[in-house]
Amino acid sequence: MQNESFWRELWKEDLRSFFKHILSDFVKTLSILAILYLYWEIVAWLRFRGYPDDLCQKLEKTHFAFMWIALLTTGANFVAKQGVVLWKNKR
Amino acid sequence: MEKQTLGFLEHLEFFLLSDDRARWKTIGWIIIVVGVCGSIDLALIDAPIDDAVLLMGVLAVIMSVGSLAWYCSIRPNRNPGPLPTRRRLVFQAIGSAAALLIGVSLSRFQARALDSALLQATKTNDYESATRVFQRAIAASVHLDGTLVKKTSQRLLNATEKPAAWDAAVASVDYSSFLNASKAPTERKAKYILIPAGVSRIDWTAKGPGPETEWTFNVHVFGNHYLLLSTDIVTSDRAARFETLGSTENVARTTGDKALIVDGMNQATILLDDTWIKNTVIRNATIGYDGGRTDLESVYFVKCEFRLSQNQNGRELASKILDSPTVTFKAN
Repeated sequence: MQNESFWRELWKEDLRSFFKHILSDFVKTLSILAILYLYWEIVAWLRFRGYPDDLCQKLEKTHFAFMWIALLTTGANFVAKQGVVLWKNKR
Repeated sequence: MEKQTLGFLEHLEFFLLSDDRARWKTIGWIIIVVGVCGSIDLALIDAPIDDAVLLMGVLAVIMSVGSLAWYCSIRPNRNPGPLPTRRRLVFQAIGSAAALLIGVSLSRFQARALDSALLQATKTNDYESATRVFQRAIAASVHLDGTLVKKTSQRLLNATEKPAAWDAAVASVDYSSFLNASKAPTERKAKYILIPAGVSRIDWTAKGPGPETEWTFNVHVFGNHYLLLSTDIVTSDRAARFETLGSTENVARTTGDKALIVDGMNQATILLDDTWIKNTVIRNATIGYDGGRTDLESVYFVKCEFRLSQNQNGRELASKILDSPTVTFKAN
């Protein structure tokens, strides 16, 4: 009985919010990557439909710019979070 | 009521671990601003990729530091936004899954459309359409159905009496070499030395370790190109060759390079008549062959455009390229 209340409390006070944060981060990161993947396929489709090569190359370059910064920021978000958690535990 | 004073690190901890809304707002703004600036630099100003990456990196650091400083010092409201509701998370997950599904269907749609156009062109012997299908597949990097391509190519090679069929067969050879990009050795998989464009004679005595004397690669390559020489040294019977048939310049060599990559930089033309090419990757080049004598041993053609004469040797070479990524072909 006592054990059960301990787990319930742990879940309510710590784990629930922790998982919600992780899940929220994961879903948001996935959304950004999904949008970028869709953008990439749209550029490939435009190329397939015979749109000028020059235009498609320019769009591919913009995709590279957004992909690069998206990977950097979302990656840095996860790394910084873990870094802070480790620092907090050491403190 | 006691007023709590928090330090920078506590603010940072709060920002990263609790204030979900503020953190993702910052990430979103950084992606938009840096992405737009990088796009302008790359696509409109045509800046080199290294410069654009440097600019984006610096901008990202400035924006991150700026927003953190603002958050930790002058931001008026220190209450964290509410955690996202379950409903909102589910909507976001459904949105991402939908975007992924649309992307995958778009990519499959292209392959399906081209496969069906190729099948139709083969059934009706419409050789011009078949040529266009191969050209579009190369331009859009679409992978066609392998069995269909093989069947069509053989059919085209057998329909020798029609020039349009030959053009379509050569287009299928071009497509086949486009597929070799993932199969051929590259400088990423092994160590190579770069030899600048226009240099075909390598003086190893000036470069340190390597074969004991000069090694000559004297096949005529017209236009800009560069060579990459493998640093693996082997006995001369196993070494890479890129020379004219009957040439005596490399006869005395006892050792040589294991492999060679010749990159035509989409500008060079390489003629295969009267050549001995061995353990070599030829990429991004136009390949000419009039059906003369040639000796090819373990040669990869990657992303090449072919100009093959319509004769027995031309057909045999086309057939070899379609059969396997590594071509071994001898014509006297």
